Amino acid sequence: MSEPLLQVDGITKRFGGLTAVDDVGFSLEPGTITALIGPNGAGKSTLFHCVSGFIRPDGGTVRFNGRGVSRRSAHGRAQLGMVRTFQIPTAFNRLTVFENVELAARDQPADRLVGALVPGLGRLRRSAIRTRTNDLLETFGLADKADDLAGELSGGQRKLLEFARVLMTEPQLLLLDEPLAGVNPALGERLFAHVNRLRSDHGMTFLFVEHDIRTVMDHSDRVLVMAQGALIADGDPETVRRDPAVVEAYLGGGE
Amino acid sequence: MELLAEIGPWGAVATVAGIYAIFAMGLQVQVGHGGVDNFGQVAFFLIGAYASTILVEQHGMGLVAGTLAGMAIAMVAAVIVALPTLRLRGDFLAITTLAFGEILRNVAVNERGLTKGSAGIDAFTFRIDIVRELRRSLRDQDILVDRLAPLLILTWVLVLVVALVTWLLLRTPWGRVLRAVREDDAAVRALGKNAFAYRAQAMALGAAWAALAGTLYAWNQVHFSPSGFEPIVTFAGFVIIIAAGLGTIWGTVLMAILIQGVLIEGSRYWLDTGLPNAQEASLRYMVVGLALMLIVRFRPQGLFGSRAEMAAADE
Ligand SMILES: Nc1ncnc2c1ncn2[C@@H]1O[C@H](COP(=O)(O)OP(=O)(O)OP(=O)(O)O)[C@@H](O)[C@H]1O
Ligand SMILES: [Mg+2]
Repeated sequence: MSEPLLQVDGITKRFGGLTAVDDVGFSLEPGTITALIGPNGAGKSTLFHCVSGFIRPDGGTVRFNGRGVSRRSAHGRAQLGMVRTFQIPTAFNRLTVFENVELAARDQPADRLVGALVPGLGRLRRSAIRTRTNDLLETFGLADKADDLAGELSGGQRKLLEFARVLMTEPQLLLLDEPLAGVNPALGERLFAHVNRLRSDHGMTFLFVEHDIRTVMDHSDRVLVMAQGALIADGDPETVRRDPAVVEAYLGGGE
Repeated sequence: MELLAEIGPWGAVATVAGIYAIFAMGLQVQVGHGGVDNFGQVAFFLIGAYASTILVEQHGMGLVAGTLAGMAIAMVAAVIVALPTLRLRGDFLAITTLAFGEILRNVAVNERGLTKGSAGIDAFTFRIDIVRELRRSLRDQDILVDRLAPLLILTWVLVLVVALVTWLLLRTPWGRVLRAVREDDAAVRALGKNAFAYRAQAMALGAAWAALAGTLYAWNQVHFSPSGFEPIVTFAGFVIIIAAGLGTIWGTVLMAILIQGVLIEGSRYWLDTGLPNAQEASLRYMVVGLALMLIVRFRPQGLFGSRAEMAAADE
């Protein structure tokens, strides 16, 4: 069996007296699509922050592609190919939709200050990036918005824009925090069709947070369930759905 | 032949306006494009003025080398200031940088061995060696030049160079990432780009322009002291970039002419209030303040800024 792409061990994060993530460990095999579910406040986003390096956990380690990344910065982890999106979609409001996607490409010599000082550097690469940007905007139905400012997009469109933007970085692992929130179902289907294609064509790996159980059942190979900071179930979608602990967490939460 | 033989008071005004255009261009990189609210820009202006003057007048460095050294020292200082402060956002950054400017001014007052304290320091090499020699040799060819003309011309050549370099640089992919950092720095980090480095670089570039302006200020003043480096200098820069529109480059040059030139430095030549000097000075700032309020109220994107961008920013 191959080495896991992502190996998370014992991640714990406390906010004052609250343990938002409580000793969570799991691993992801390359080329898999895994869903992370759990009631509101279960700690899913906080776990994403810890794994992607946006907050420092109180304990635990993260390994990516066989190397320890626990001490790496968020951008350092993204450079290695582990890229995340945000629950509240981010957009560079005063840049155009096209620029939002274009700037995300890796290996742009002129996006470093030294490179920018050399006229004409990376021109060939730039035209390849433009083509790819157009393709991605096409895929996500944003092509006719290319020249609009991103700040003019609707909430759902921002989700799509963010997705297009992270794909531009050509990641190996994508951590998607509620990628479908606010996206209409037809587009959501297209988005997941795309995810499947990326998995089969490029062997990309996905971990996504989603509340809609139907989407989770249809599109994941495996489901992780969190409740009150802890991982309470892990298995294939059918098994997890029948797991009494999961039913309890979802239905019993409102008592 | 008479080439700027008599440039008159407006020539002097134009020199100061050009110095402020360069100074404000630095703020435009930091605040307008990098989103770094640097309220201590005067510190780098001070570093440029003092470092170049001390190196040239006391250590015999050439004028060009001294100027470049002043810019380099300001850039290093900017990065040092950036390290602890750039992770702060908004108000905290503003207060910290403001304090940095005031600390440097007080150092200039008290480090008498280096700066001659509040008595002030002379930067006469440009005026005496360069201007006098130039005028003498041109006079031999029957060309008359005003003694203020060389600095006026040099300043405006530099304004154009600085504006052009800034404009070109901000159009590159580097400039685009810098603006993305201004919009959302977490999202930039999530793409594998070091947002902090971009902001530090914007600080350093802006500091270099401020230092260049500082050196020109020193040459223009010939004699200057720490009292020329009050926070008001930074605020004047902010007035220029806000009135022009955050992010605009050529608008900044025009605004420096209008505000620092026509309104602040020049008003004594076209506005005769009959008031005592001190009162007239206060009146000038009141007029500038009122103009800024009107602009912010009726044209919040600035005279040359884009309304669409302004609206998109609020999302
Ligand atoms: N920065 C913070 N400071 C204090 N408490 C926090 C912070 N971030 C999250 N929390 C708390 O940690 C818990 C887990 O939050 P988190 O956002 O990870 O949940 P989630 O599973 O993503 O929920 P949702 O499905 O609503 O997005 C919540 O109780 C939340 O209030
Ligand atoms: Mg969440």
